[in-house]
Amino acid sequence: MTMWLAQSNAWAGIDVTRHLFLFSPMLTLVCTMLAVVACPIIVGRSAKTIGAVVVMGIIASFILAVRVAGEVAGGGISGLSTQPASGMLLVDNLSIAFQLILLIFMGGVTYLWWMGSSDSEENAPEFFILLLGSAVGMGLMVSTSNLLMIALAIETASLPSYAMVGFDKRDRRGAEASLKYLIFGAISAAIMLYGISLLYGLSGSLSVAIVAQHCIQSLASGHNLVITLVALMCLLSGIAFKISAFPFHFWCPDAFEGAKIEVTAWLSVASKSAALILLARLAMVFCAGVSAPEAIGMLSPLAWGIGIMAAITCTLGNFAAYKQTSAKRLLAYSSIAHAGYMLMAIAVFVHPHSDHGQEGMSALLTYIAIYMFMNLGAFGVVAMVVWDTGSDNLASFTGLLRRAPLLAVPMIICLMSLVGLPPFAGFIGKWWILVALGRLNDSLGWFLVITAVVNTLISLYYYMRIVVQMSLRDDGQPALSFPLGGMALVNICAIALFAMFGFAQPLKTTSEQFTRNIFDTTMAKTVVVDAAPAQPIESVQR
Amino acid sequence: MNTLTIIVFLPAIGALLCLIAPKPLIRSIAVLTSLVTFLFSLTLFGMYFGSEAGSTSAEVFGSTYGALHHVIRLPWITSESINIEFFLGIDGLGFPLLILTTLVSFLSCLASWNMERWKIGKGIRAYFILFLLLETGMLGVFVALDFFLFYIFWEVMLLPMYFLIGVWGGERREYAAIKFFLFTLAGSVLMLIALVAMYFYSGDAITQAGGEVASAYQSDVTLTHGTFDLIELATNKTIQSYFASEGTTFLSLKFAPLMFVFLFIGFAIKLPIVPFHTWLPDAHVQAPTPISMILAGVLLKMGGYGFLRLCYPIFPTGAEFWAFTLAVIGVVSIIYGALCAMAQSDFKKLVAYSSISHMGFVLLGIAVMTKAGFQGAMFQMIAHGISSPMCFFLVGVIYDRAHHREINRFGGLWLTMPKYGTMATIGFFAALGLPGMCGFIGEIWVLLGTFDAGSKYPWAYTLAIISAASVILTAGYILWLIRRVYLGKEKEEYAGYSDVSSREVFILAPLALLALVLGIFPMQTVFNFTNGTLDLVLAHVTSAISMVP
Amino acid sequence: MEHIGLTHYLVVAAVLFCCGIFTMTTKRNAIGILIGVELVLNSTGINLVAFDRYMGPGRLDGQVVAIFLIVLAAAETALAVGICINVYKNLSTVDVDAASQLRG
Repeated sequence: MTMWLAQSNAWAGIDVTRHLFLFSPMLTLVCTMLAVVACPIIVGRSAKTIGAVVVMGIIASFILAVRVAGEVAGGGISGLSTQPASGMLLVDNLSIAFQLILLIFMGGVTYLWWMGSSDSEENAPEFFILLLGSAVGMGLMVSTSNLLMIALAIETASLPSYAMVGFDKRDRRGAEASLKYLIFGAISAAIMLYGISLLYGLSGSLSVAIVAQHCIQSLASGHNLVITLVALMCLLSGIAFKISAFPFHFWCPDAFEGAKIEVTAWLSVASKSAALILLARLAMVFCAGVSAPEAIGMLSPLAWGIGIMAAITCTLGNFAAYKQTSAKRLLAYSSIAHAGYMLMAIAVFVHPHSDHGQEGMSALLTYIAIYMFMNLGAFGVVAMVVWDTGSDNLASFTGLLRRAPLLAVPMIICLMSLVGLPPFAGFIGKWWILVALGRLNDSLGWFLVITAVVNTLISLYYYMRIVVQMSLRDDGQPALSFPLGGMALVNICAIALFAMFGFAQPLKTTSEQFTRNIFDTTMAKTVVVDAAPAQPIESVQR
Repeated sequence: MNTLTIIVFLPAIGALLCLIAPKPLIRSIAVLTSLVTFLFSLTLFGMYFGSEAGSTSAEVFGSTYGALHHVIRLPWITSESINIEFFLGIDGLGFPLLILTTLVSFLSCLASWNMERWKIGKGIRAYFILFLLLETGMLGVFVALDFFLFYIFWEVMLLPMYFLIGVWGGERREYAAIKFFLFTLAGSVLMLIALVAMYFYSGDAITQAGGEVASAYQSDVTLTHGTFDLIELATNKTIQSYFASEGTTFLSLKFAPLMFVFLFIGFAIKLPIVPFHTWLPDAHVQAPTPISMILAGVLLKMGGYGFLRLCYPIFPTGAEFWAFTLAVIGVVSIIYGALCAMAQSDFKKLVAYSSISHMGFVLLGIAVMTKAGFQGAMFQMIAHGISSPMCFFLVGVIYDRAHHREINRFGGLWLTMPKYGTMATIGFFAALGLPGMCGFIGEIWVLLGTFDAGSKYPWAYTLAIISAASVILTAGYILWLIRRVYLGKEKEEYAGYSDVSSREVFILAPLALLALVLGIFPMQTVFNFTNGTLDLVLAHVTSAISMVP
Repeated sequence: MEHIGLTHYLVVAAVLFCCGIFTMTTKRNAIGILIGVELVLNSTGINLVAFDRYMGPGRLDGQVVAIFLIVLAAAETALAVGICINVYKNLSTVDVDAASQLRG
């Protein structure tokens, strides 16, 4: 088959087998989707069977991803294409790092689903098709720097999410939530596509690298300036919607509140981080093409724009969370705030003073890894409380410290980590972002440092509301017992947070490893970011 | 194995043991752990007796600021150019406070032995685990010399303290706990800004000087990037001149005064200083007795320690800039604290406000930047660290029996409980600053220092006179307190109260003894161990100031 | 009649885009909003094909994207109508203002 593929003209010169291997994690997920489609015909619709198939698929995908990570450590490829510069599908350190995190997280969410819904779920195959589909979409989002692929990947990630939010057909709030999410998403996607068409027209290519060059020329010379800016803003609006940055965040609290808890957990981490890494890659490609002095000056307003958006996002998320009485909504606003912090990391490497990005990139990746554990733990506890008491109101948490200490203590750890308090990993995540900002040595950097730090203080109060309910209030209800697996999950998350604090050095080294040797589509080759000797590049010359 | 590491982490190990120990053993394990930590910390006295002379021995204190003992220095987080180390060290600045911490923690642990709640077995394990983790944090703060590590230890204290006040406290404990948490975290985040800024600005200083600068106090170490090392930041000439220069700006404000303000506010909230003091009456009153002892005895001292370790050595020009303001704030604290104390009818609140008043002396002594001022500030911190836990425990003793703290309802307790009355008199006279007691030495040294500063700052004379006069206010509220509570006719409602038990005497007696001994032999007990470093700190500060045109 | 050039197509697309935006923002009926989305997507398609036609020979990228766009629009519409049906079953209306139980 691969020989036949290799022999036909279009694939000449590409090592098809190797490329397919490098894309295998996402391909495995697609195969798992097919297996889940085929399963009801073969073995029936039992939720546990489907769950087992999905878990096997995730494990297989993870193993393949680890092996691929070893392969691309020295340099990435632009795959399955005779035009590497188009950057349509990339496999490099950054994309495989995110895919690894995504797979671990998907395992966690599946586990959460297993404990909560596997007994009552009639539509398990459909649910997992949607979950796997959005995972594939997110995996693709981080593996591309081509406008068409960006649009397709965002849609592949978003459409199943709309359906997942409204999955329980009997739930009125789910229906409302999915409607709001859909409409907001469809509008943003449509505007993004229009922006893409304009950018294509301005630059004649779909590759972001070439688009970036033309945009910078246009910004520098003032030719076609308005159209360029409008087109860029339209493109960014689609991505900002996925990140839930201000002013595209309005869907977030409603969608999170109306969806099932597993879906909320999934969306809060996976879709935001995928979009952030996509934005990071775009920013990196954009900046890599800038070398002319007058063009470098153009980067400064861009950096300020992203910085101010980040500042407003995190402040708004933190303030809006104050009056929430629903734990899911509170965590939704907290995820908006954290998206703001992560966006600050991106402002770093769009800034003229930075050396295009490794510091900001590794800070972002570290934060995403830590954020995954924090959110998984927090949502896991909320999930178990909701399953037990039926409501996610803060009052359901009353006295949890006495009633279920093994659940309340990890929750306190996850919440304090979300605040950014030492000795938990959340502080380390924020620390690396502060360091990246401080290194800019520029007023934007210090402004963002002060904003981030003040927001840490502001956010304390609303996280403490949950802690207060759990530990200081008690209405005398009897002790609760929760499924052992669930308690194991949240306790593992809490221990992971401690471990990531203690082993901050290995964590940082790992994330630095994963953010170097990123495929540079401006030059269609791997760019070696560190001082290590040049790695053999993997690209195809036409 | 490095002594300081053992001292700092032994309570944490004790906390782990408490986690797994069977219930009856928990209290014993906790008390034993704090006792062993205290004994270990006493071994640090050894660093003073290796030499022949005492307080001015260059072997012990070095000839410049930055001579440390029991140093442990391991790279912790290194990446690109961030170099965070696990750097512990002790000198005359941290040493007395370390001993104070271990002593007060041990006594508080004993004081926690039979809190009312234990009789229904509620939360013993959690209490002692949090207590020991708190002790680790406190000990770490006094010996950490890497700014990042210092910050970590500083923050580690917040969460256990929140729970200790919030779960085991009085009626308004929830409010007091969250107020404490928010206030202290606000100070900490300002410190975080300063932490990041100082690192990168020190990096800039080195880059400006050519990219490689020799370390100021470590032989054959060159700095190529910024540093978190607190001693280095203070003593390295390149970094210091960059920080102090006119051209260094942070968001278009002068760097040194601004960073000084950030750090100052962080520590001023802890000290506490008017107007950042409002968390203290609530937290002290609502906290259970042992936690009040730790709050007053140790946590407040961290503010003063922070000034002497961070603010003053690293930003001497900032200190010079704000000297008048700080001194005035100190005096305001003294008077305001004293006046509020006089107005109180809650016993514990009165002691809390007296703490504010005493800490005002600390700030005054530091602000005037004279030898006697610094020495007096340090002594006042230690003196207060002895008298204040004692006073809080005295309140706790009577609260355990009477279940109320209203001063006006008490009376004639000396007759009812003679041993208690004696201890109380000693304790409160120590707080008053009666000559012969520790409080007096602290106050008089600060006043002498302030007068001394008059040659440099003319306003110092006025402030010294005002502070001296405010000693009358202190005497006023304390004597009035003693009269209302301990003297007078015996009251029937207190007639049946048992006198202090042997455990309580065991806690009070050492403190009383120390209060007397420190008051009579200040040189041999405190000054010999601290003056060496303090004088060097002051010399460093004044020389830095005099170098700036 | 003057020669039909790139500008004409772009203007038509822009007009469609504005109509789409107007529809999306003012319609209260969910299906109406989706019609607005379709208008915008179609304006994008016109843009892409026009760029391909007028900006040099042999360009195919835009037309390929336009085909993908059709598929995308179809998928989105299918899903959207499914969600609207779900909403109708729960709320008896597809008026977006009726979706007010979740505070915005």
